[in-house]
Amino acid sequence: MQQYFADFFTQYCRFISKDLLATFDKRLGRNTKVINTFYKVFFIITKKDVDNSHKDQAIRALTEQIDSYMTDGDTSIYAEMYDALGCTNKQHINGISYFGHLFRPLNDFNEAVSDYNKLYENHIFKQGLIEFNNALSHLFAGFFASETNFEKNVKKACTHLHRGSLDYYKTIIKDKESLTHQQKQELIKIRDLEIQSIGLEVNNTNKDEILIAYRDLARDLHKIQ
Amino acid sequence: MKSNKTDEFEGFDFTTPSENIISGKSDKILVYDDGTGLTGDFSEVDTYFNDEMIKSDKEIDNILRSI
Repeated sequence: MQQYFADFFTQYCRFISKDLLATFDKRLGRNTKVINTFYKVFFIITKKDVDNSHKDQAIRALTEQIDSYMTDGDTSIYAEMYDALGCTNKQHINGISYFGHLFRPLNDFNEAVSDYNKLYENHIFKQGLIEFNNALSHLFAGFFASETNFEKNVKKACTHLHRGSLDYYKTIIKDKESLTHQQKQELIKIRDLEIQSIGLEVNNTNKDEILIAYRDLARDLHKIQ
Repeated sequence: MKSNKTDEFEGFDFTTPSENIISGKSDKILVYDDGTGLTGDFSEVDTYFNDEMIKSDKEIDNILRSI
């Protein structure tokens, strides 16, 4: 498993060596479709009981996609950025036991993506994926740092996944043209709870309640099963 | 929780079917800002996806369908 993370974050390092600069490039911008690929591959390599052959194949396809992604634009400056990031020289941490903390927020995030995809075929929800990318950035930074740093970054990644899950459900709810009186009351209750929980840790019970309430409302509004 | 073991993480039992993770052809991007001031994307351009990238994306979708 350790090797899959090493391979995954090596490709992520290549990706951000361009992405960090492309964000300032009016012609390029951020490539959300590539981030979507990172999400799908992350799902494959973190899913239990998936054959190593599938994981190998996913990493290989990701590498091919990044190879292609890196060819467009000012490649020399991206190479400089890659050297500055120094991923090839850095040692990644050996202990990945803190990954366990990711399970619940990652599972919630996957569920939110799944619910969204049931409603909107052929769409990528940018805001939600950006939160996933923010989570990946923390995992990437932690992975090439110390174990203590990794633990801190895993917690921050959890926060972004939680926000991403909320964003998915918010956009599903937003897409409903009209709400019943009861649904409006429910929304007021959730929004109030949300304001009251600002600043709390992501594993706080209130945060869980908010996500569950948004999920229930979104599913109720669109009859998602 | 500290550990020096190198490979103790075996993965998660996700409750979500993997085929539900696939978002179709990925040809449209829905931009949404909920106005809460969260970090966002400054770019206004459409992201490109050439034939090679589409091919690798399909390969990954096929893996998702099969697991």
